[in-house]
Amino acid sequence: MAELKRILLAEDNPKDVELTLTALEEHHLANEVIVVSDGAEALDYLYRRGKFALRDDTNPAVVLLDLKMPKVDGLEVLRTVKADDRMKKIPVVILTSSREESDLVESYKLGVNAYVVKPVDFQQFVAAVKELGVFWAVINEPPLGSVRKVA
Amino acid sequence: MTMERKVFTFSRGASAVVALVGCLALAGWALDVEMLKTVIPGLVAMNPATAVAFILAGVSLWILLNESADLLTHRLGTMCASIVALVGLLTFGGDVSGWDIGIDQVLFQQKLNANRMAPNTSLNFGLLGLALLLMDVETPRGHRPSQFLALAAASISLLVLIGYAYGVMHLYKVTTFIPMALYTALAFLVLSVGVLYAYPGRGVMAVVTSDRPGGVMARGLLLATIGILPILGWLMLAGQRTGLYGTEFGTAILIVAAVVGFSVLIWWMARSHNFADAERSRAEEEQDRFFVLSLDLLCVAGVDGYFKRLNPSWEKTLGYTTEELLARPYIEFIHPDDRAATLAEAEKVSGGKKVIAFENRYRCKDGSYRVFQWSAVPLPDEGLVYAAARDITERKRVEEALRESEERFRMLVSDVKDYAILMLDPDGHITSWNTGAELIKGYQADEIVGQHFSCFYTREDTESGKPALELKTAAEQGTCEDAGWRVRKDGSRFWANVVITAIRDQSGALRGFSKVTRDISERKRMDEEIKKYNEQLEVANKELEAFSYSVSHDLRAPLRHIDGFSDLLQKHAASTVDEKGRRYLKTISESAKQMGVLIDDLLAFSRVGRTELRLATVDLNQIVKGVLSDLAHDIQGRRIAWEVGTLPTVHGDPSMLRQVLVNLIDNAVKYTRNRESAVIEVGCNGGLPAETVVFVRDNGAGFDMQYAHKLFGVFQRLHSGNEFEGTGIGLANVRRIIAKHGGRTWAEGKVAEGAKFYFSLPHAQKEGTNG
Repeated sequence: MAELKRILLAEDNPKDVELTLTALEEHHLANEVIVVSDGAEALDYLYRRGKFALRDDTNPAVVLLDLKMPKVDGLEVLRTVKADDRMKKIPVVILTSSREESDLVESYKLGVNAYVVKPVDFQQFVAAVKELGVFWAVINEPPLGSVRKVA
Repeated sequence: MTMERKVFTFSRGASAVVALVGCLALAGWALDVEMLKTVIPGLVAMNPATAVAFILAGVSLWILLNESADLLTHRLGTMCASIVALVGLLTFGGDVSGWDIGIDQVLFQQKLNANRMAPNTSLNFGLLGLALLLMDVETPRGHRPSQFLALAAASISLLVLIGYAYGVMHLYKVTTFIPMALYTALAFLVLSVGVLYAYPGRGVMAVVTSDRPGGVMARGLLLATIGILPILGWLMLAGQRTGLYGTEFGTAILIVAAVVGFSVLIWWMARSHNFADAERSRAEEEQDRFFVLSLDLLCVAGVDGYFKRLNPSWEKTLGYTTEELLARPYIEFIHPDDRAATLAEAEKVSGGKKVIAFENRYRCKDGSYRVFQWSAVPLPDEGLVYAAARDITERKRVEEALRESEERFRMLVSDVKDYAILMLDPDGHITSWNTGAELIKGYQADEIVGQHFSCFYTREDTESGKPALELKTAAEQGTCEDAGWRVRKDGSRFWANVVITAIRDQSGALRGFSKVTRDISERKRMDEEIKKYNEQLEVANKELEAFSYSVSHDLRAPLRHIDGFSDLLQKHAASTVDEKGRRYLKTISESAKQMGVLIDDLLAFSRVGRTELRLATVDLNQIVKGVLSDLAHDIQGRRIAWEVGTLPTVHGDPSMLRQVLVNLIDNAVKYTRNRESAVIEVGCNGGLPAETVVFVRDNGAGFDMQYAHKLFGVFQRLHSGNEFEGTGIGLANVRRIIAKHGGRTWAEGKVAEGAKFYFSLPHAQKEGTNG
């Protein structure tokens, strides 16, 4: 793999973070996963401000976004990203426990790229995360600016 | 002024003139003014006694003419007349018998100079005095003695006057006595005519004063006779005296002149008489035509109680022939209850009074009665009554109907309790008040009628001119409706609905307003309460939504963690965990998954309750086909005989109806899995006329009908999880979805033989769906 694709995971629950990372690792897909624990941090990362002010300028190949998070929730992050011409090309996948129709409708309205409900069954969960990782971090060609050339 | 009135006034004038002449003559004697005593100097003077007698006669006539004079005055009049008569007769008697009583010598004795009362003067006083006394007397045949006496006196006076005119002394100087003064003769003539005209319509005078052609002719001829003849006589005498012609010739000329003059006069009179008669008969014919033509009932009735003449309207109205009506006393045709009143009225008419607007009922030949309204005038002299009746039966009926209807309406309005119904005059003053108004507003009718209706309004409304504005709106647009606060008598307020309607008469003029007020405080309160509950309900719904959102999101996460970490543990400790430990971990994992399914089902169930139906035309055949094809993978290896009938197209929410069929068919598949060969039937049949019934039948485990009522309850299961897995939500969801569509759900079953589940959907209201 000549390119390192970066995944931004926004998830407030550490257990879910651990399970998600485990699933990604299991399939050696955790090229580079940046974990943030709420929407505000996610936006900080994307806009390179706060504690991420000094990060390099490569955007993630995909953002895995939980909906229910403290401070700024997932839908708010999605809305901000998709309303910003510089950001809206970054693929965003909602990864959530919620099956609520209203969330689904709202997410697509805001321009989400995919919507995945986390299965309770761990095997299914692992399968889902794996497929997500493979698709967005390997198969999918991300927009320019999301790939960091190997030095 | 009528003829009678005119001549009556003449009589009055005559009495005054006569009395005045007497006074003047007396004054002449007293003051020695020759002119006053004689009129023309050189002639004989009026005797003072004659003057006094004239005064008395004048006063007497004046008084006796006055019908309203009191008894004492009337007696004075009679007394004066008596004195005149007595003086006249005694003096005349003295002259005739030679026994001089000398009444004419009492006054101005030394001035008299042999002036005596002439015998024709005293005779005239006797005649006129008696005439005055007898003025009211009328013989049964209608003659009046006083008029004859007056005529006699007038003749004597005329003779004297002609004597003066012709210069024939012995015409006014009877025998050896002194002559009657000219003055006296004129006064007698005036007095005589005054007496004659005292009752101009009675006795012989009736003919002369009549307005009929005969009266006109009589007056003309009399005037001519009195005027022409003395003049002709004077001319003849004058001619003879100048020696123009002899007595024979003169007489012949007089006769010829009289014949010619009277012939012309008579011809002229006859001509105008003919005219008048022609006019009269024309008028009579015209009257006759009206008599026949009149729609009113005209009749002439006799005082004997029989009709004398009837117009054709009688036959038309009552149905009797004229002969039948004339043959019996009219009272027999009158309603028994009205007879007494009719007789009383007939009595009044016979007594000379007019009848106006008297009502009674006449019997028709068919036995029914008609109401007549009468006016009648008497003709007492002929014993007849002329009467006209109008048939007012129809008018009465209409009036009665109108009155009854008005009364009914009034009672209806007056007894209404839930509405205050009142009438206002055009200015807004209250004119009527009903029970409802009493109850709602608290005023009694007698304390509020006449007040202005603005007292029902709040002070703010009155100050802003709302009452006047509402009247103006009603007057301009016909009606004005308003809801707002109104004030009761005790000052409390109520929320009212008010409708004010303008009332106009046929010409469109504003007559007033009707005002109907309803107390809708209670309704308003309830509306507000409902609004409050709705708001509460909305809040509760919002909370419920937040709750289920939270369940959906937060409850599933721990389950995922339990499953995830137990799986990780199994991998991590694979070498150290024994068989038992692995079983425990598996159980933990299974329980977590089971709970995940449970939560998903519960959320789906609650979503059905909250989601609006998205109605469309749904072909159930297509739905079943789709469900079966989705199932294909799950039922591999099963022997199932599908019997799918033709299903209807219905009106409903496609995804929800699909859920219903999925649940029912899933159940059928699940509960037949122990059958070697399962039979599952999906069909449509029966039901009420306005609904479609669809069923799913299987030959699976079935159920005991005893528990049928539990089948559709949430979490209610008739089988253990060991036999058949499940959460107990599926059928509850079916029932909920179908209920949302307005349909019913039910089931039949028998243990070990199978079950049949039904649902019904009401037919759509819209055309184009045959579901």
